[in-house]
Amino acid sequence: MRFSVPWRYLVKRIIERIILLIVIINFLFLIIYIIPIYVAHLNPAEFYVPLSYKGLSRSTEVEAIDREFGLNQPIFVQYIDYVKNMLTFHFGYSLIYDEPVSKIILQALPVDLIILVPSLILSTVFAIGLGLFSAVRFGRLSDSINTFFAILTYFIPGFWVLIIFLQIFGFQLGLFPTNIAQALISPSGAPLHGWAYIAGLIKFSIAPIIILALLAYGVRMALTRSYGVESMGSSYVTYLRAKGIPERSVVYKHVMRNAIIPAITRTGIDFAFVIAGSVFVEDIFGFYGMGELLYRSALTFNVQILGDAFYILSLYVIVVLLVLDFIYPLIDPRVKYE
Amino acid sequence: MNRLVNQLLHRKAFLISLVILLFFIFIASAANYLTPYKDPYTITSEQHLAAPYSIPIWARIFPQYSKYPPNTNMDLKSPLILGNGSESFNGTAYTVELKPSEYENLSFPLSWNYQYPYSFSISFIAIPHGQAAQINVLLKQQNKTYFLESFVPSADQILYTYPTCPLSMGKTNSITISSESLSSSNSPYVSTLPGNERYIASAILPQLIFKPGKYSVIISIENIGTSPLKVYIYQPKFSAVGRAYGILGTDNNGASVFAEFVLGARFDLEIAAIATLIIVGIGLIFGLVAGYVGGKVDLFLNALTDFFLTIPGLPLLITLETIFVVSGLILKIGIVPLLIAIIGGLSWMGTMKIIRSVTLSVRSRTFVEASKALGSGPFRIIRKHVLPNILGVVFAQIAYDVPVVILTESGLDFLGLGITKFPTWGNMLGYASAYTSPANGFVWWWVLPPGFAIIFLSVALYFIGSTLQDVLSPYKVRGE
Amino acid sequence: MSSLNSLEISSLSTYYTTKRGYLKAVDKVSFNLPKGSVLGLAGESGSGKSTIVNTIFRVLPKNAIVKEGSIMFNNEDLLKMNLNFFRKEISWKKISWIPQGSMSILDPVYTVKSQMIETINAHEDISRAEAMEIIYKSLKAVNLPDDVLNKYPHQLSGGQKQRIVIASALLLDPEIVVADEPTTALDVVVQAEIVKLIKELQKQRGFSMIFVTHDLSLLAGVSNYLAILYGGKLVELGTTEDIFKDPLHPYTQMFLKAIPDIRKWKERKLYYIPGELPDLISPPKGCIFNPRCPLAGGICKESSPGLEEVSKGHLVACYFARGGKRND
Ligand SMILES: Nc1ncnc2c1ncn2[C@@H]1O[C@H](COP(=O)(O)OP(=O)(O)OP(=O)(O)O)[C@@H](O)[C@H]1O
Ligand SMILES: [Mg+2]
Repeated sequence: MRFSVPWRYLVKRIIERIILLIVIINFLFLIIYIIPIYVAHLNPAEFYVPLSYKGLSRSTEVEAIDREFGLNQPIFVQYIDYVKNMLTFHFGYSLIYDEPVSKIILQALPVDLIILVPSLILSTVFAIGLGLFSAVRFGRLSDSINTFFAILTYFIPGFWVLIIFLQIFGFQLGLFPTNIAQALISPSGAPLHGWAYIAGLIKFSIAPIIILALLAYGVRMALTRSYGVESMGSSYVTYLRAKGIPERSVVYKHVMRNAIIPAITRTGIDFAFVIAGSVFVEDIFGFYGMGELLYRSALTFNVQILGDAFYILSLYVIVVLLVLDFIYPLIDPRVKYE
Repeated sequence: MNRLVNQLLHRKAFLISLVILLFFIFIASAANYLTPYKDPYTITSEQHLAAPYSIPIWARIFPQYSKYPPNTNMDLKSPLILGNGSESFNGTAYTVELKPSEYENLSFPLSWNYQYPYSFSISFIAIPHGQAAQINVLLKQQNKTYFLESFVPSADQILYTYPTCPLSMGKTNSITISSESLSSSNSPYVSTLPGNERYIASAILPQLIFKPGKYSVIISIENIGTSPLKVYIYQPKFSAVGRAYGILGTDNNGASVFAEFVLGARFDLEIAAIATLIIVGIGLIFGLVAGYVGGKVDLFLNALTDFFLTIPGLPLLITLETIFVVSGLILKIGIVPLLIAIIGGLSWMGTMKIIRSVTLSVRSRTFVEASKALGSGPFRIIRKHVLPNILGVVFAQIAYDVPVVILTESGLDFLGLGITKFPTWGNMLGYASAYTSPANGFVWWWVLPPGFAIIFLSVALYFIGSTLQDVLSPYKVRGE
Repeated sequence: MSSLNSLEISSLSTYYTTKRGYLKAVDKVSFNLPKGSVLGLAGESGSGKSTIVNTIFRVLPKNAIVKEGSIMFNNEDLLKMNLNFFRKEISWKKISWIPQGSMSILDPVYTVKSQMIETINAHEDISRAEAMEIIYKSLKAVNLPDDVLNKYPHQLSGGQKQRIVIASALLLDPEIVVADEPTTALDVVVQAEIVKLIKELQKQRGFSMIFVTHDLSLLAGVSNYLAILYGGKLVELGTTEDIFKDPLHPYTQMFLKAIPDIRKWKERKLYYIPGELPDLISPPKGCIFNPRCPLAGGICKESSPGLEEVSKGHLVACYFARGGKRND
């Protein structure tokens, strides 16, 4: 197959996504600056100030922040600054954490991948396997049960399952470390290194990975099943059978290839939004990723970090969706670059 | 219409779902009759109804819980009398008459069939007439005697080597001896315990004293004066705070989990109903307008929807809420309306997309074209043709959106970012997770009910939604 | 089995199970396909044509059952044969199929080439180069350029797809080709081209063919024999010439009238026969055609007429069509 880079499509898509990004920045500016200033009559500098910082008085701090972030400037100057800072990733310095904001965010980001990405992959495997299982048994009891469980998983609150798991297997039976800190130290209390560290990490992550996968496969399973059923009853499958193609190829080559497309597509979208949904698992198992960062920032009213983390999350979504736009045509030949 | 109801009632999944939904609606609307409590989170008198983490009463059918005591309250009756004084009982009061240095013991039988309670107390009213009396309260099991407390006139207290409490002669003394207030400074028994146990006596006394068996509560009266003594004893009672309580046990504060559950049901259903109306309202209006008007309006509304679909939902929810809290706007709005507004305002996109696509396809069908040609106005066409055709979808969306709201709201409550001052299913789970530790093990009666309620209600609504869509839609619309 | 016939269908009944009961889509249908000839199988939409075809290829949907009958090919009953053997050795190698509705007949996610190679490999143990040789030959036969091979089905036009399907049917040089309404989804000009192509191929290669259609006009000049199907029953069977010249069954007569005048081709309208197809789950009592029949008499509401030979090789199932004359 000849493959040429679809330049026009590429440029068009990128421009669209940049516009979206700018809209999001404006939206953030609206909720972080405009609403507090004009609706609540509050100086946003208040958001950035810790209760005490190096023994300075609060008003001195607020003034300093005003100067540092230009919060005493006219609003349109602030606006320009804000847009510029976001686009160039200049998030400034968090007085509350006493660290640059970008460093805080960069520390949190990779933590998510340990659990979220493997669980996404695992749930895709469940979704496709169980979806096909049901599709070829369409209408039978095993299909109904399988499908019912998949629907059930849409509605099981993840945090609920996680705390039950933690309470039974962690607290009561003591089979699993109940938080990541506990997982990464040896019984004597010394921090683990090397392979032991990795083993500890795996032992700790395996349960949340499986639980999250079991809670997330439902929608894609239903997609796989319904497209599988459609495919099983389609005229091309009848035609393939008449052509004498062995049943195994009909199911595992043709039906499967057609049925998994929507599930794979959906996995891409879920990948984009995976961090957004990570708050619960991170909070319950106590590891410090983006979700937990957002959550702690909300609990401590740290609007600065909250806004920046939210921006980074949106940016991540946009980038992933952009990448997906280019991958889809490779998965489904019917999708065109247009 | 009849045909429709008929069709609906012939679907098993729909019927079961309907029963489940009605059940929840029933407990929500009857919450005030099902439980006397209003808000176990803030009203302290609604807490400490039983031991913290008490199991449900019925759970005693399981062997490991079979000996858990319920709350016990009983009048002590038919005492065995021992001593050298004289005694009489007139139906309300025991009258004990003692000459100097005579004593009399009222030994009330108490049969205890359980493991230790959370706490216990013995109470009675004593009116001593005379010069000086000592009243001792003891608990006895076979050959073990626990000398709980001793009461003597304050002038005499100094004469005793063990701790005593003051007794007012000639007055009414309301005496309550409760395990929680016994200490080495008021209880002879506690003062004989080894040091470490002495400090935590109030917590461990029930465990030290009670196991299944026959006990007697002894009120022992002695004339320690030099003139005759007459003591009236009224209303001797024994009570114990149990470790098994109610339909769903208790939480960490000893508040009724059942009360929290039904109050939470009411609140969750109310909030879900309102937020769903907002969601379906926005979705319906935007969807109808976009689908019906088309063109630039459609383009704009669709882009708006895509925008809200692209920004990550939960983080946005959290960020928005925090801004409102920090900027103090929440004080003006109140947390509940804010939550409803934010959840409603950020969850309408799916509904809008579906209604838009259905409207588009209805609009393009011939009868709409025809009635347009006949000069019907847009409102008339929407009312006569579009609305009836999307009714099924709208009802289905209502059923689909309620679980979304409940799940989102519960999640926020769980995290402590939503409602915390009043029971909801979500914050029940949040507290259950925050207040359990290896020591309590798995507090299933607290953790399971809210979770199962969320699941049952959501699945029921899902099936109701899909059945309604099936039955009401003149043609099939795919909804995921 | 006579060696003159390549296929003999006898007393074939295929029913669909539905909620209301059996739907008799094909009811005791018998006909032969003489070697090297083309048999037109015609009837309105829903008369059971595709059901017969699907029965032959044993690709009926799950709710279908073959109640009775046999389909003899080389002295063997296709319906009783081991399914794997049938798939590998008979289907496509001996009897191939040009299915109805070619728009969605190809798997959308594989290229034409890969689907064709797969078809050959399912039957023959040959190298890829040899397979490509065969594929190029059949593409040439249907006048398609080679570059369609690397395309996905959605990148092809309706006519191109139809040619691919025809080429696929000819890959293994079958003895019989069953074409099920091969031109329905196409516009008139392409229709004519495709019919011409099929006719030429049939002449060149000499395979026998069943040509299914609801449009009798397509059969003129193509088929040697004609079988008219109504409500799952065969109502008339004969040579194309006999039937066109002297249709005996009132249904055939109406059916023929519905063909527009060839000279007014451009004004061609959807043919229309008054009344509707009968409900095949609870068919009318007596002759299944009686509610729509202008000739229907008392007996027609009582019992169902069998196929009877009226003149040599011309059979009809009608009480009032005997003697070879119309009763009007
Ligand atoms: N899977 C099925 N289940 C139930 N009934 C069916 C099924 N497939 C076909 N039928 C019914 O069987 C009858 C014959 O259908 P068939 O497809 O054989 O007709 P046809 O003559 O090929 O029509 P067309 O010209 O439209 O292709 C119709 O009444 C149809 O409704
Ligand atoms: Mg057909």
